[in-house]
Amino acid sequence: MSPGLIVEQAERRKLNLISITDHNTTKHSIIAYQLCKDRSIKVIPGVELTSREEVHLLAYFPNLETLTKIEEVIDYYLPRRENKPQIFGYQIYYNQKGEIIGTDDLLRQVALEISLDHLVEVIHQIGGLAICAHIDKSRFSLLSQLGFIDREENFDALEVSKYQWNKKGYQLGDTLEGFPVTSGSDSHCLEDIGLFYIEDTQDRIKDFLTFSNFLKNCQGKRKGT
Amino acid sequence: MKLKKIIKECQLKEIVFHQDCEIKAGYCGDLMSDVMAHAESESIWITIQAHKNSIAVALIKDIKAIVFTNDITVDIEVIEKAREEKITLLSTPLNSFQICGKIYSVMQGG
Repeated sequence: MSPGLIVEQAERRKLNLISITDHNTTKHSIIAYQLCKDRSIKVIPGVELTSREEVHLLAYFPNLETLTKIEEVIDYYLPRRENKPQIFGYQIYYNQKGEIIGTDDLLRQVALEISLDHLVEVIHQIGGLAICAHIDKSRFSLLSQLGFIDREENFDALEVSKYQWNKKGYQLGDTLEGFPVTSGSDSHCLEDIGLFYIEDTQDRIKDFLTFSNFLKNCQGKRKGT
Repeated sequence: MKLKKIIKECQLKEIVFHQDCEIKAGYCGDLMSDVMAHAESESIWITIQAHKNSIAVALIKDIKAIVFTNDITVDIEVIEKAREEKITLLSTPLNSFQICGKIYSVMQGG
């Protein structure tokens, strides 16, 4: 999936705000952001990181400068292991025009050598949001790896799978153990894009900043009053 | 089997030592959901999962001691939490397979 095709598909499906969060790499998220500079659809720069505990953590950033900083963090903590395409598939890089420009030979689907708590700290220092990914899933999730949700943790939100979101009837602004709940399509192919989305009927969330403020507001409601 | 004896025979490093006690069982696992489902009480738990939640799991399951393997770095928050909750924390440079074998054979009186 080239970033260009993802953006076009998202536009066709009338999405306003998306994020590309590949595993431990930011290159396609950068391209998608650049492609949408002059379009009405907006992209939040992001990445899906794997902590030492094998918990998947979504990280969202206000701009490319901060996203580049997390790429440096990935470079530092990613173990140097070669990708085996016959097992994990080819890790292909595209350019803005959708042309293949190369493959990534470093295996991205492994855990970074940094603990979840430290990773959250680093993301916050850079100015990003840290959201535990698909916590209801039986693999690579906060619950499968670490058993339960500690209310003292500094997560900005918890993401549930789209299945859980629908099953529990969650709505934008709901909280779980005090943390705001989010969800996403977790699209792994073009056809999936736009089949699941969250509608913001009050038009509050437009970009990183409004998203970030919205989440803080949800947390504040619990902690403050 | 006394905890102190296991520590001595298996050359475990003490990060936090609470008190000597009887160890009746052992478990090895890195997924908390699995450990919560299967670990027995008054046991020793072998894992690489050096996270704060491990201490809480030990508390819930009445696990007396946790052995962190592969010399994994243990954060200060984890150590403090173990002190607070009176859980013994141990460490070894061996991997989980190797230390399980040693502890098992000591506990079997071998």
